[in-house]
Amino acid sequence: MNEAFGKVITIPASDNAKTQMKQLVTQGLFKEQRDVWWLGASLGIAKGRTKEVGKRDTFQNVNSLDPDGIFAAIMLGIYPDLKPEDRVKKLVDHAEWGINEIAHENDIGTLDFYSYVAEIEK
Amino acid sequence: MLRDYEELLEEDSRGAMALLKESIECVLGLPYFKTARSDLDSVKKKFEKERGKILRQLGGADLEELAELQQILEGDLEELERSKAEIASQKSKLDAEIVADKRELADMKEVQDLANQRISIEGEIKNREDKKGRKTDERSALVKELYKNVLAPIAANLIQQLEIKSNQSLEKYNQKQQAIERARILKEGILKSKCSYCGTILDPKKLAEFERDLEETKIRIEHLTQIPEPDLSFEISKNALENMTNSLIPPKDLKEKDKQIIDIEYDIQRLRSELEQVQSKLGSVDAEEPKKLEMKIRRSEFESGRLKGIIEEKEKEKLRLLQNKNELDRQITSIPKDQLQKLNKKIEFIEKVRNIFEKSVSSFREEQKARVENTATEIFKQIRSKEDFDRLEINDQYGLSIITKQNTVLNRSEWRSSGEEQLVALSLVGGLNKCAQVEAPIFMDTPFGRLDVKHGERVLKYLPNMSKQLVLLVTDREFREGDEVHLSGNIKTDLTVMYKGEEEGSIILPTIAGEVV
Repeated sequence: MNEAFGKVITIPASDNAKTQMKQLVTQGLFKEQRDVWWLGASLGIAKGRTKEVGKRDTFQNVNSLDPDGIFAAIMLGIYPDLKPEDRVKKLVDHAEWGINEIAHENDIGTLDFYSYVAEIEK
Repeated sequence: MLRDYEELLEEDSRGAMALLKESIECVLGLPYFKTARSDLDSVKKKFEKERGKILRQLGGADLEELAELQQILEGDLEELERSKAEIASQKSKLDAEIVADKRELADMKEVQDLANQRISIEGEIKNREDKKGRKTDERSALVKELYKNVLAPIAANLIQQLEIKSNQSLEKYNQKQQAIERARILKEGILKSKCSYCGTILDPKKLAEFERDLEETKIRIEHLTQIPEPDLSFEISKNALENMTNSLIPPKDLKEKDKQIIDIEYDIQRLRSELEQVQSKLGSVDAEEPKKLEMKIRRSEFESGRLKGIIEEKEKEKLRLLQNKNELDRQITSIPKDQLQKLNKKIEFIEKVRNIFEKSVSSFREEQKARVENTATEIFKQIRSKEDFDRLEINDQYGLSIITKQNTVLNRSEWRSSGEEQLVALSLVGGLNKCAQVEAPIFMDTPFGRLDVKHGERVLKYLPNMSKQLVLLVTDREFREGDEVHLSGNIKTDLTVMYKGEEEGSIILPTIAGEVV
C-alpha cells in the first residue's frame, strides 16, 4: 500500500489497450507490454491527455508496474487531492490514451521514439 | 684414215663421232671459219671479262638481273605481308574466341565461387541479423527507459514541490521534538523545584511560570502531533523522482541506435538481394561444360601460339628481305650504267658477227657435206656392183647410209657385208679427198682385205682417180700378181717390206716381178 494508490493492488487495462500492447511487442518495437504501458502512461501524463474506456480488466500488479514508485510519485504530485482509487483511474486513463497514440502512430508509420523525447524537451 | 674411219664407225660413240666430224671438217676447210669464229669468241670474252669485273663489284649480276631481283623481292615482300596479315587475322579471331571462352569459363568457375559466396553471404546475413537483434535489444532497453525522459519535466517540478513539502514536514516534526524535550525539562524542573538549565532553586513565582510554560508546550505538542510523524512520503517521492531523473537516457543514444538498426536492415536487404542473384546463377549450370570448355581453350591457345610463331618467322623473313632489298637498291644506285651499256653493246655486236660466222660455218659445212656426199656417191657408183644401191647419204656426224633406188635407207648396221662397208668407206675417203681445200696423198693400209675379187678389181680400177698420189699398203693376198694391170700403168713405185728378224727388223726393197719374198 502506498499513499498515491492506497489499497489498489492491480492496474487494469482495456482489451483494446492490451491488444495494442501485444502487437507492438510482436512487431519488435518493445520488449514487453509493460514497456509499452510505461511509455503510454508517460505520454498521457506529459501531454495531460486521457482516454476513458468502459471495461477494463487487470493488466498487471501495481508493484510490478511501478516498482520504483515513479508513477506513484508523479500522480501524487500532480493529483494531490484525489483519492487513491481515483488517482489510479486517472493514471489508467492517461495510459490508455498514450498506448492508443503509440499504436496509431505505428500504424500510420510515423512512430518515432526520438520525437517523443524531443517534443517533451521542447 | 680409212681404217680409223671404219673403227670409228664401229665404235659408234659420241666422242669418236665428234673426233671424226672434226677431222673431216678440218679436211674440208671448216677450221678457217672456225678460227674466225673463235677469234670473235675471244674478243667477246674479253669484253665480257671486262663487264664481269664491273659486275663482280655488283655481286655478279647485271643491271637487268638486279632490277628483276628487285622486282622479285618486292613481290616476295608483298606476298609475305599478305600472308602475315592473313595469319594475324586468324590469330586475332582465335584470340577473341579464347577470351570469350575464358570469360565463359570464368563464369562457370564462378559456380564454385558462387557457392562459396552464397555461404559467405548467408553467414553475413546471419551476422547482421544477430547484430540487429542485439541492437534491437539495446534499443528496446533504451525504449524501456524512455518513459523517464517523457516524465522528466514533470518530475523536475514535482521534485521542487516535494522538497518544500518535505522540508516543511520535517520542520514541524523537529519543532514537535523540541517541544517534547522542553516539556520534559520543564516537568523535571517543576518536580525538583530547580531549573534544569541553570540549577537555580525555583521560588513559587518561578515555579508557577514553569507550570504555565509546560501547559503551553503540551498544547503545542498536541497541535504538532496531528502531523504524521515522521512524514517521509514527500522524501520518498522526491527520491524516487530524483533517481528517475538521474537515470535518463541520452536521446542521441536512441537516435544512434535507430540509425544503426536501419543501416543493418539496409545491409541485410542488400545481402539478400545479392544472395538472390547468386542463387539464380547457381540454378543454371551444366557440370560437364567447364571441362569441355577448358580443353577447347587449351587447344585454341596452342594454335594461337603456333600462329604467333609463324608470324614471328615471317617478321624475321621480312626483315631479311628488306635488308636484301636495301642492299640491292644500294647496288643498283651504284651501278656505272653508261660503262655497262657500252660493254653490253660491244658484246652484242660481237655476238652478231659471231653468229654470222656461225651461220657461215653451218652453211659451208652443209655445202661441203653435200659436195662430199655427191662425190662419194659418184665414186660409190663406180666401185659398187649392186645396181640397187643408188647413192650415199651423209648425216651430220659423217656417218654414211646407202640409199637404194627404192629409197630404202641402209644404215651401217644393215649392210650385208664388210665388203660393202669398205666400199662406202672408200667412197667417203675419195669424196673427202676431192673436196679437200688442199691436195694431199692418200694412204691406204690393206684396203682390199674384205673385198671379193670382183669388187677388188673395180676398186683398183678407180684408185688412180681417187687422188694424184696414192700409197697402197697391201699384202700379197689382197694384191695378187697381175692385179697391177687394173691400175692402168699408174704405179709409180712398187716396194716390198721384208722382215729381216728381230735385230734388223723390217726393210723396204723394190719389188721385183715374179720374185717371192
